[in-house]
Amino acid sequence: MATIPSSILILDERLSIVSVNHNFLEKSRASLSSTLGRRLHDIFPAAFQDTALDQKIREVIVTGKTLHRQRMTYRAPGVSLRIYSYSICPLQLQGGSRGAILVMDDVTDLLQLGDEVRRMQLHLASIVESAGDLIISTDPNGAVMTWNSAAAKSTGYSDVEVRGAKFADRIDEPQNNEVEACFHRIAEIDDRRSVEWPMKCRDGESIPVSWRLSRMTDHLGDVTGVVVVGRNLVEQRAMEAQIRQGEKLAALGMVIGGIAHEIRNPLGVSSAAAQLMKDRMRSPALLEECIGRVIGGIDRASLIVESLLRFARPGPIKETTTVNVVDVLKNALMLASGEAAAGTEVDWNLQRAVEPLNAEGVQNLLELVVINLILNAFQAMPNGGRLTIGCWGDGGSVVIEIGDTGPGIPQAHVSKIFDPFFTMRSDSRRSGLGLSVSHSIVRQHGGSVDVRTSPKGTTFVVRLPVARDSGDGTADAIEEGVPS
Amino acid sequence: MTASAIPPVPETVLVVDDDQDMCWVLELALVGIGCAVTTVGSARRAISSVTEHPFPIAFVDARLPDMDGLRLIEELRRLQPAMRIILISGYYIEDDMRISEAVRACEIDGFLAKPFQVSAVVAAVTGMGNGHCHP
Repeated sequence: MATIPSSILILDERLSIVSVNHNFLEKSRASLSSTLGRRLHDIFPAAFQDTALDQKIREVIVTGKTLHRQRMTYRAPGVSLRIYSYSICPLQLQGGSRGAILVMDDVTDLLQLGDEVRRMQLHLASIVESAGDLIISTDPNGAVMTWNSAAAKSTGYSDVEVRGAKFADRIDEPQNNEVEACFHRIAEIDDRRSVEWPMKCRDGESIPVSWRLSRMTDHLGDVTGVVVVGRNLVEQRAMEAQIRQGEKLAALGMVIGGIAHEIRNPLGVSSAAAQLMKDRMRSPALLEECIGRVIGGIDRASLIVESLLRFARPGPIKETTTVNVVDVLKNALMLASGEAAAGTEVDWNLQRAVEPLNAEGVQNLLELVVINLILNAFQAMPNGGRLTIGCWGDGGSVVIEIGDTGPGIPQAHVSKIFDPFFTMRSDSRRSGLGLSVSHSIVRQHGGSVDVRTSPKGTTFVVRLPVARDSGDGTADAIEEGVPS
Repeated sequence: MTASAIPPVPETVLVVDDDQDMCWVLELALVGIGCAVTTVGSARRAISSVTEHPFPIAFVDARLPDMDGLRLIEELRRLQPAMRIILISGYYIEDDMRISEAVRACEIDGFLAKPFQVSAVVAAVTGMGNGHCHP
């Protein structure tokens, strides 16, 4: 009994101490002689006396029934609160009289530890519950075990509704198969990589969520479950859309500025020419010229509107004619030449063919394409350089090349140059619509535009279908799918 | 506008516009009132023309291929402070702050919005009207 860390007291019917162990004496700082034979309430500290311990011991002695693990507190001024767990067992004393044995343990530290564990558990649970991200845990097969508030809030499904269900079933088709596959290969999953899977919601909609899966493993390294953390991308997407919208509006503003300028020029010419006609009635030649400028200005304004419409509503071109490509190139160069910087040379590189190079298309649209490409070339050479204009037949195509000796297009921009509104010029004169309109027109002709660029210059390569009546039947053969 | 109302016109007018048709109408209108007209299509050519030959008056388009119209006007002023300069632009609305401020600050002597009245061109040259001649 001396080595037992509990306090043990043996009491007789009158609750006098018959025996005590070493631990009790040590804790109560009393000697055996001053304790034995004394009544319990005389030797027990006053701080315990609010507990009806006497009463309980008497009951055990009378009823013979053990009282298990009761708790009492020790409160004394200046001493921190202690908590004891005690049991009272009936005992047959020597001589036949009845008694009881009281076993007491100080459980204060144990209880405090338990409280701490509980507090920690609550804290962890509250982290998961308060997180803005969706935190879901599943078993190794992907059946949902826990589902935090953010998951419930985002989807409208409570944890009770989804517990036990497959996580893959919460993801929209067809990505749910991908999720299923992910769980099949869960041992190989890379938790540094996130994937986007749309999640089904109660209202029938689905929300974009970026997910990251991590394995939970036991001490042997076996997978015991999966932690699935998802970030709801709805707000992020809304913000991105807002930014894009703003960018579009800014770009649109620039384009509108360019259009205003482009259209008011021919309008201004037509208007002024019409006003001047009044004073030119007696000079038929001048009158004729004024009328020509009026009509020309209106046609120009109309062509601008048409190219805008064509950009807005691209569709196949129906009425095509045979277009002499060399004429297109010459007209375009003439119209664009006002923009060339001093010291700009032009190199023609034409096929030395007897028959003219004809494409199937719409003359003024193809001119617009070449004008845009030549203007781009001139803009790339503000201090002069060499413009190369090349043209030749290549099977069923007519190939046009417009090259400059400018600084080239940065690699990062090459993929964007055909995007509407993209421009590398810092001033607002060019709307950035030129290349995208050109691209759109060539595509409508059934052709293609490619670009080669280096720090020594840029060349645009346009391929157009050869004219149907070009004589050799090449275009027809292509159309009918017959190799020529 | 009658002939007797027209004060003496400046001898030569410089027209700076990259649009050849626009140059043609301005030239026709100005030649009609007895001006000699020089037309150029870029800011660079305008500067070299002014360096070679003084012009009492110039019409400058707001958007030029190689320079902003207002920038060119600053350059021309530096070369020839007494020159009267009329800005023309199709890129304009009533509340265009930049142009309104330029007019107020007397950086430009007049402004013509395309499409314009031929009489306004004539008035700008002869110094009649306040020069703020948009329709």
